[in-house]
Amino acid sequence: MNLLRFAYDNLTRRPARTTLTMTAISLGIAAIVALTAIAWGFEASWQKANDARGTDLIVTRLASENTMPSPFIAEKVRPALVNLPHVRQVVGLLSEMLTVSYDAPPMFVFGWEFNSYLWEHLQLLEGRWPESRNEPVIVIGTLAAELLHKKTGDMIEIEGVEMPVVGIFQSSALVENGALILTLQLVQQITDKTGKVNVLNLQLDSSASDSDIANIKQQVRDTLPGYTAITSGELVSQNAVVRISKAMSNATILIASLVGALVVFNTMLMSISERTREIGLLLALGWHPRTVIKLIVSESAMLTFAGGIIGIILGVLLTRGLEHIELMRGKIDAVFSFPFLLGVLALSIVLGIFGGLYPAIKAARTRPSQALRQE
Amino acid sequence: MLRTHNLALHFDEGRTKALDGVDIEIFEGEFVAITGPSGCGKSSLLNLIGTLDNPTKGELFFCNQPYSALQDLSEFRREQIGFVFQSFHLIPTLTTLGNVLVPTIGRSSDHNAIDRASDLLKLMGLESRLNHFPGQLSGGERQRVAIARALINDPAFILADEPTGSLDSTNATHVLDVIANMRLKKSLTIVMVTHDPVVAAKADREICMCDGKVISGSRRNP
Amino acid sequence: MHAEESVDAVALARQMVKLHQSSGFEARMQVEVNDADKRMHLPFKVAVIGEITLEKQRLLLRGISPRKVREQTFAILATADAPARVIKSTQDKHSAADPYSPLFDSGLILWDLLAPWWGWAEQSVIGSDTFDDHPCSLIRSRTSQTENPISEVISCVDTTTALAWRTQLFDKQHTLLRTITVNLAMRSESGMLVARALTVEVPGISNTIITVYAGDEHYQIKPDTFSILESAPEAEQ
Repeated sequence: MNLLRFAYDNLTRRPARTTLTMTAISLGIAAIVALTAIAWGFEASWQKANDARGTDLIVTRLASENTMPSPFIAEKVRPALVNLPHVRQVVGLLSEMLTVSYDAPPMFVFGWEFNSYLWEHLQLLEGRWPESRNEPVIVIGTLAAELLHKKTGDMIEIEGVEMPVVGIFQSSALVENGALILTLQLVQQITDKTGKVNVLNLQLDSSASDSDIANIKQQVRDTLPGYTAITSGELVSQNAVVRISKAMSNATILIASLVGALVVFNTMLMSISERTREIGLLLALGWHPRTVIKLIVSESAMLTFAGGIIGIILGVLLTRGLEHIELMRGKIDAVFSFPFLLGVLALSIVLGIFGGLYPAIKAARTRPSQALRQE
Repeated sequence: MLRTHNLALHFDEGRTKALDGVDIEIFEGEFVAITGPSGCGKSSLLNLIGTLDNPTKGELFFCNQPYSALQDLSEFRREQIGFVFQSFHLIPTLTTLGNVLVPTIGRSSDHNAIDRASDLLKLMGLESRLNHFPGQLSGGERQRVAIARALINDPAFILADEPTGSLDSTNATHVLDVIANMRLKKSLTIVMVTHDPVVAAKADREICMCDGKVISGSRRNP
Repeated sequence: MHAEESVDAVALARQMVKLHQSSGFEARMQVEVNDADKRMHLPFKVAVIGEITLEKQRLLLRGISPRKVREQTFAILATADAPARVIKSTQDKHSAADPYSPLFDSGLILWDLLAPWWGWAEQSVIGSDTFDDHPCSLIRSRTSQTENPISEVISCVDTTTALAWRTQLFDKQHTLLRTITVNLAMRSESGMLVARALTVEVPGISNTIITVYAGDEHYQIKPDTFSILESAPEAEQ
């Protein structure tokens, strides 16, 4: 007979309350798991878009609060970049979030330099690619095709200009699957941003090391005031939407943790007030107050541990379910990492320990003679 | 072995005097019954001896050591005292064996506790009841489980508060026989609170109390 | 401390004029119109290109979509010494238009986009207020120009950010013609707080929500950007 076994028996003797508390905790944990996985997936998807393109560094205007870096004239910056060591290609990109159809949400319209390496990672499922830098045609991602109900040959109007869809592609990045891609020159023309880009993508040769990348970043800082060279990960983490989604998941973690701790607190407080006589007995039988604290905290930690496991399973199922419902399809690309799930489990145990601490201390302070008299 | 000096226990800022200047002495191996009408302070005295309460005034001594000098009361209770209560106070979710083992929980280096518990239950005639829950036992059986629990850590003395109070006469006799038997086997000191003269008669000495004071039997007759 | 005691209306107006200056900007906006009876029209998109200096303010408003809107372009020119002039251009002709008249049956009015009341001589602080928890000073701008249908404007300006959260436009009889409120603000690249979404409420007629969805704070004004202003209008509209 050990303390943990005794704690476990104490929980199973009140199955209804234990189940209720565990349900509350598992729901909170499920919310944490689902929202965080979605937020991370969102971030990872952005990064994937850059990584898949083979972009090593991105040169952009210094951080602004807009969701996209503000446009600048490419030719003012490009000459300084092409001659940097290890730089293989400098490719302009212009993107905007635009309402293309009033039946669909606003979508990313990307302008990619014709014939650049950016196009190489896309897999053409249907149709063809643009054939010249000025050809007024669009290729769209599979998700965009689904959301806009468009196929090759259909017309799409972007900012008042009607163009045919000539190809449908698939990308490993969700962001691109939901995007419309045109040549850079075309997007510049349509959005009245002749010569402008949001970012310049740098592809380095394979011999470039981390210190070379750091070197290039430093040179950009020194020679191009107002501009910055960052890796795709850094760009993504600065993105306002990514930041908002991360803030939301952090807020969820905070609120769910607070609620979880309160639920445990309340349950354990109720439990010990019902068991006052029993706790008095344990103390009378020579239990050290420390052992009583260990017992109560073990009980609450077991509750939240079990709640945490159920919550994680629930959260994963919930997210997978969300990924498959019509409304959400293609918008969620959740990422579950093992360390994260382990962290959530650890968090739930910590919640149990903190939620159970005060009730445990209260129990340990019980005066045995009084407690034993209680009916 | 146990001695009290001018022991007092007051409640309500002194308006209620549960104990008022109690001086008694109990010797090793003695079986002492504390008797008196209800509310006379019998249980209060037992609680003070068992360190479940702190005296308002006076001092208690165990082997001539004052209680106030004890470092760890929990350890003292665990190592030296075995409690037996009128209403058994068994934990309903634990088996007979589990209940006997409760005082050993949390003690890291107690490897033969289960063997000891089984032996004690055998001594109590409960070897066939090891895995029964309290709800499946008779009153007498439950009290015998409680006695086994009191003995699990080999205490120096047993404090029993009306141990037969909830039992019929047959069971009461049986339980008293068990206690007497254990006393001999384990050379225990027993302090028992009772209001039953028949039960008290089984003791070596009767300390009679009234209104928080000892009326007779505070010292062993020479 | 009362805002009206510490704010110098003339200085604030001068600051507003200065903040609006730009050597070139472009903003594309989506406009949604709701009738007073809550009937919603299909939204339309326009692009506004502007060049604002102390001496001369020029705006070009180009329809993007739908087709009916796309076919129209307007240009407005305002200078310190002449009243605002508007040229409307359709596929085949240029014509003069009224700077005060609403465009595309919405609350969008070219004259309002220039916020010329900040250049009027008479500016005074008439009190303080809050708008959506933003404390602001109420500034009254008045003009005696008789040809102008708007003769008084009361703006609720957050003096720390110089953003007018609410602007009420009145005629000579002090009848409220429309109220422009900022629903959403954002920081521009220069750090200035600018409106991202606005509502223009014309009492009893319509509610227009204007949302800026794309823009360029460093738009390159080309020599021919405002060329339609130089064309001779064929006929008065």
